[in-house]
Parts: sequence; structure tokens; C-alpha cells
Amino acid sequence: MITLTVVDRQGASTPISAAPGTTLMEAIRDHGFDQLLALCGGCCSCATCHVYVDGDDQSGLSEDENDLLDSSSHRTATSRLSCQVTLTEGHSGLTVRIAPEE
Amino acid sequence: MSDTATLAKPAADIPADRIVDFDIYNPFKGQFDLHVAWAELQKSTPHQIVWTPHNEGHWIALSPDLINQVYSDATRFSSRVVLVPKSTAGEAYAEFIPLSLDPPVHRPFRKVLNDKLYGSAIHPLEPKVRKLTAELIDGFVANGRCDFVHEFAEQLPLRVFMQLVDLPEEHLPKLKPLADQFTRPDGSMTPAEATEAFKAYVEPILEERRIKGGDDLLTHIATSEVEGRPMTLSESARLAIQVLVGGLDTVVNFMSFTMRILAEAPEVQARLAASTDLHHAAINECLRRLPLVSSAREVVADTEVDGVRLAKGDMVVAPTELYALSPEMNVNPMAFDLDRKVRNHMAFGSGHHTCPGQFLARMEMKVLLEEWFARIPRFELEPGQTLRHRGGIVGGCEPFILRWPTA
Repeated sequence: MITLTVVDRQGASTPISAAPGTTLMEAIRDHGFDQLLALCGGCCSCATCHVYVDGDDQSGLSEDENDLLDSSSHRTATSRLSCQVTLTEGHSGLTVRIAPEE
Repeated sequence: MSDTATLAKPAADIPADRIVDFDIYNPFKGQFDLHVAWAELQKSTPHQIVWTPHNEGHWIALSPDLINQVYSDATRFSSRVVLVPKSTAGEAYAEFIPLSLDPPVHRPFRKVLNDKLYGSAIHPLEPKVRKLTAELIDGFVANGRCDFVHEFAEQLPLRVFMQLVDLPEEHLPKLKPLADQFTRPDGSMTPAEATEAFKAYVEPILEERRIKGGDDLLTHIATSEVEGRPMTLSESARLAIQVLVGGLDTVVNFMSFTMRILAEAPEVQARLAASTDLHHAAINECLRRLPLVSSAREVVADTEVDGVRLAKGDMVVAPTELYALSPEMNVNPMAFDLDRKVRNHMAFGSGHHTCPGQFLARMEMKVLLEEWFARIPRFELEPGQTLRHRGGIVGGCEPFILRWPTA
């Protein structure tokens, strides 16, 4: 199992665990964080699963994800759509913050 | 819509216990609540999918898992046709983009909408929406009552939308009935006639804007490129018409459903009046409890689902209402509960065609709740009314009267 720390919009930290191969969006949603809307269900269409992944180097960004993040007022250098991040053991220990609501 | 004279005959291999008597345009059967009507259908059968002879005959997905698949698996369920009856409304609407397109062709057209409807493009509209909302409420607050549908819900989202596309409000009486022909047709014209009327309206406007330029959504549609080339006039018209149909109906209805349910929940009103912090949860709970779209998809190739064969070309209606109102998706689903920890719904759909207007819709709902509760902390339904919902691809509310104490 991979362990992550999720920080919600009020700044509260919660540790979560997830199986490798699940997406970051699924892992966050399955732990009941309803601030992460993920409205399209994870197909990179709605930009409502926007998170900041500490230390993300943006190397996994597709053109679609890049376009959608561009539409956000809250994009930063570590912005990702969590539905597009497939978790591996390498993600263990990461801190993920839920981006402000659009 | 009256289709009782033209009930379709089921295919020979559809088992009798899969056949239901359910007309999505008139699903009520002696009561008047859209969500109860759908929930009753789900409760009436153990099956995940059933078939109805109404509206030329089509399948209805009932289980949350199957509803989700219908919206998100474009390899099996195509959005080439999304409305029933298929041969009339469905084929007339199949011209419109991006909804009628499947991936990957869909994406560049969808991006044109995302550019103007997602997050950062919507924020600058909020002060205008707030001013308009305040003016509308201030116009009737001293009366102690209002016809919410006519005096607010049919005013605010439509005027905001007309600003977004930079069209004069005077055109609304022409455009709104045309848009409604696709979601709740009244029989006054065929869907094909509505499409032609829309094209005749929008094509000259797009041609003008292609030359004149501007910052509005229609100019963006008229001037955007897809896959490195300009869109044709036909493409931009078909995209613009889809925007007009989508923008002129759904929020009107969602606001009406929302205020009606809040009118019957004084304890929720008290909490929302006391703190705007709870408004976000209230909007999410309204989206979960009051989804209103039952769109359809076309079966791509013969396929087996839940033990029955769906034939290529069959239509499957997938009610977003039942996704959220299924007990396996939400505990005690018919209850309006501000304190739910988990809310599963697909009020904005799911998959590649997830509603691009969701950010505008949410912003309008947020502003409505803030401005309303600042002026009218307590309100109720005027007694003696018969409250009726409307069925259709997009469900709605018949007009109702709210009342409140005045100083």
C-alpha cells in the first residue's frame, strides 16, 4: 500500500493509503473528501479534481491535462488533475493539497 | 409530447418481465414528483435494465453502475444520438456538436467551449451575476411573495447566458421555446423545424462575429480553430446551437427544484441563513438529491447487458436521477441531508461529455443562495398549491409561489 497525506481546503491533514495502480483522484475520493468533485469520473474532461502534488515535475502532463489546468485560476507549478496521476510505490510519502474551488 | 398512439413493438427476444410502461416525458402515474417517479420505476423491478415501448421503444438503465457505463463507455454507447424518440428528436439533435461526437474527434470542439466556460473564464462574470440577482430579489422582496419560476428562475440564468453569448435579451422569447423543443417538446413544431429555425437565427450572427470580433462565447466559436484549421460555418453553427439549447434550460430548472425543496425544510433554511459556510454543502446536496437530466446513448454494436441482448442502433436512456437516488450510492437517498460525508451523483453527467456549464451553474447557485438568504432568511410554499414537476430529457418544475414574512 502507498501512504499519502491529503490536505483539505481548511488546511487539515489526513493520512490515506491506496493500492498501486489506482488513480490519485480515486484514492482521495474513496476516503470521503467531498471537496474533490471529480465530476467527469476521471477521464480528463472537467478539471474538478485539481490538486497540488508536492514536488511534481509536470513530466506526466498530457496536452489535454495541460489545457484543462490552464483554465483554472489557481494553477501553480505543482498543479495536477488527480485523475491523471496513477499511483506507484514512488508516490509513497507525498503530500497532496486540494486546490481551491473554481 | 403525446406518443400513446405509437407504442413500439418489442423485439422478439426481449423477456416480458423486462418491459415497463414508462414515458420519460410523462412519467408521473398519479403523482407529480419527478424523482419519486424514477425511484418507483427502479423499485418496481429487480433488473438493471428494462425496455419501454414509449417514444419509439428504448432501453432504460436503472442500476448506478450501468448508468455510469452508458455515459462513460463511448466504445459501447455512442453519443451520436442522445435523445428519444430517436427518429425525430434524436436524429435532429445528432447534428449538434460536440455532444454528438465521440472521442477522439470530440476533444478539439469541446476545448472551444472549455476555453470560455471553465474556471478562470467564469470568475469575471460573478459581479454581474450578483448585481442582477440582487436586483431581481429586491424587486419582489417587499411583496412577501413571488412566483419563483417566472420571477427569478426564468430570469437570472437566461439573462446571464445572453450576456455570455452577447445576444439581446429581447431575443429570449424566440430562443427559449426553440431550445425547449429538444428537451420537453410541446408538439408545436418538429425537432427538424426547430433545428432549421436555430440555424437561420445563428448563422448570420456567426458570420458577422467572425469579421467583427469580440470577447463573447459566440465570437469565440466563430473564430476558433480545430485541428489547425478554422471551423466551417456549419460546424460553428452546430456548436453554437448546442450551447444555446444547453444554456437556456438546465439552470432554470435546477434553481426551481432547489428553492422548492428548501422551502419545505425550515431547519435547513435556518442553518443557511446563519452561515454562508454551509452553502457549498447545500449546493452539493441539491445536485445529489435533485438531478434532472435523463439523456440517452445509441448502442454501437450488439452487446449483452444484465442478461439481455441490446441490438446495434438501440437507444438506452440513462437517468442521472437514479444514479444519485440509488440506495447503494447514497445512504437514505431521498433524504435532504446537509451533513452527508459522501455524496455520489452525476448531476452534470459523466465521461467526455460532462457538462461544460457546471462552473457557471455552480457560481449562479452560490450567488442565489447568498443574496437570497441575506434578504429572505425564512420562506415557505404558499398553501393550497398543487406542485407539479415536468418530465423530459431535462426535468422541470411547474411555477410555484413562495411567501415570507415582511417587516
